[in-house]
Amino acid sequence: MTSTVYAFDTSCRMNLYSAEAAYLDEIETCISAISRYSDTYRNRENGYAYAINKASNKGVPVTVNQTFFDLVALGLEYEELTDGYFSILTGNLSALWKNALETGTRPEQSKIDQAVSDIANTELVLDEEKLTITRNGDATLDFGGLAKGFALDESLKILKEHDVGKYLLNYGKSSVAFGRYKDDGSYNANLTDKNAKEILSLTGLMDTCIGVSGSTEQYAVIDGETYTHIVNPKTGEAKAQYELTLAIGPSGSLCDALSTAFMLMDQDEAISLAAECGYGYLFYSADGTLTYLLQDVEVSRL
Amino acid sequence: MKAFLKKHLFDGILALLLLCSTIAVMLYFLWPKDSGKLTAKVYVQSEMVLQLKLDELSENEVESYPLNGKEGEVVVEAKYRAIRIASSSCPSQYCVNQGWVSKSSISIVCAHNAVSIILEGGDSNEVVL
Amino acid sequence: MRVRRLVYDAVFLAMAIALGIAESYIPNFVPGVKLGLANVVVLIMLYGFGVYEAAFVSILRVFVVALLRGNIFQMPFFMSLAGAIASLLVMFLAKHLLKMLTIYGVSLLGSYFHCLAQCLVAVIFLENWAIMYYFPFMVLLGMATGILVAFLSERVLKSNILPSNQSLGAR
Repeated sequence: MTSTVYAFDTSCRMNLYSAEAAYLDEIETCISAISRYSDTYRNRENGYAYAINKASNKGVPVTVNQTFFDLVALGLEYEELTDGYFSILTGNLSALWKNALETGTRPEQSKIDQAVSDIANTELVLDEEKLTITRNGDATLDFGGLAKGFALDESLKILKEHDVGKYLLNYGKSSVAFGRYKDDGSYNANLTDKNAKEILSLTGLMDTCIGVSGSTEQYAVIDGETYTHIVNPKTGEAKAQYELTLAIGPSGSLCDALSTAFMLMDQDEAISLAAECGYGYLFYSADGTLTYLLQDVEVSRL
Repeated sequence: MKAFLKKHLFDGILALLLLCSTIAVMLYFLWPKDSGKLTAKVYVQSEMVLQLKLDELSENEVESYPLNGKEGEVVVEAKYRAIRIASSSCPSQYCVNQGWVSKSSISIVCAHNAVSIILEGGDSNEVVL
Repeated sequence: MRVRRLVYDAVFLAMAIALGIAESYIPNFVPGVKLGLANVVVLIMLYGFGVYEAAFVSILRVFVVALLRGNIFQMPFFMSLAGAIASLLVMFLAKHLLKMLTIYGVSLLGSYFHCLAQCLVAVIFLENWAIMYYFPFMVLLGMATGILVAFLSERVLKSNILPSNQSLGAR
């Protein structure tokens, strides 16, 4: 049975073969909730991220629930792991570049510098007992690079609880969990370039998660330079090093964060980060160069 | 009784053969060729008036299809992997209240206007990211 | 004597038409498919008179019923026509070539190919194979009706109310 729900501003699709509809409902409820918690654009029910981002809540402890708390804690953990290339405090910076992509003009340099300095100077204080989060600083939250991966992990927890081994979860085409196909076999995935043309084929995917960055993001060419949706919290620029990156491993959240971080990193740095985590990687550059290290997964060009 | 069976032995064998071939025919024609694509089939009375590949539609744009149902107008809307009856001239409005359907093997039916929508497919081991 | 034959043909045709109209009012789950009760007449004619008479009644019946129902030259009409022709052809061949079959076997074959022909026509009209999903259900229902039809036909044929071919003036 397949089902598709709208969450995280995109379509999240679930294929379950041996499970009953009840599990689909459970997963749908779970990810819809995470979508609401992490939504920074609209004020939703239990919209913790939105609340924390409000200027009036700066410096104020905001009460959240365990799931959202875990999400934020994870985000901070990954920030440290990726040496700051991945950050959940890119709200303002992302907004600047989103506007830039739409209008076709670079944001003012002073605003970029301000945003970067805010990210560096903002601290999130987490109180595990009271389940509160305090935002001390002007940078705002953005879960674009983590929410779907996190939702994937939460969904996998549900599936594991019910002993479901045959599944495919595809959240927004950027966070995907492959279980087994209905005949206990593996999956094939075709990756697309920024023009939505299928360029790479991956086969043998099973019992793993992947995070894909690049092909599904918006991009714009301003003054001859290509800018993307992925912002660099350290430099403030929105230029990606690759057209497409992929991280593969057991945790959907980490895959999501890694694939996002990879886009901003030099190849050597990215490869050693992947090695540190024990995760596989794939980098595809605009000029067609392909570098990858994936276990048990075959890659071929299309 | 025995005489009856003997007389109709070949009839019985024939019946069995025909039934088996029916199953074979059915399997051949319905073996999922395109099972990866989520398809919605829209019928007015007994005629299929629309076959939509829901995987190929846009997430943000909704395609609208006004149909002439048996008693009145029915408007079907479709977007990426979802379909619904947006409006219908029927008195009960059950079909409209069902809303967007994205699960395969589910159908939406407007009995008053004899419009039915069936969702099929959508599960293959290929994904495009 | 030729007149007598003509009269019999006409009466049977009328019966077939009446049966055809009556059964078209029975709601069908599958688009355009009817039970096939009118085949009682066709079967009686096939066994009692000959294939030409049976063909006459069968095909004309399809036309007249379609005219009366108002859907001539539309999909259900072509489906019925294809079904009638196919089933009659098969039944005639079976009656002569497959002598080990009784009227029941012949009728079953007739129903089966009637359904098959109807489905294939529907597939052509709708331009997709989706209708084949209904094929097994049609066949089950059709074959059950076929058995009933055979039973009724056999009773009529055995009851001697029909004249023999001789008395009608052989063709």
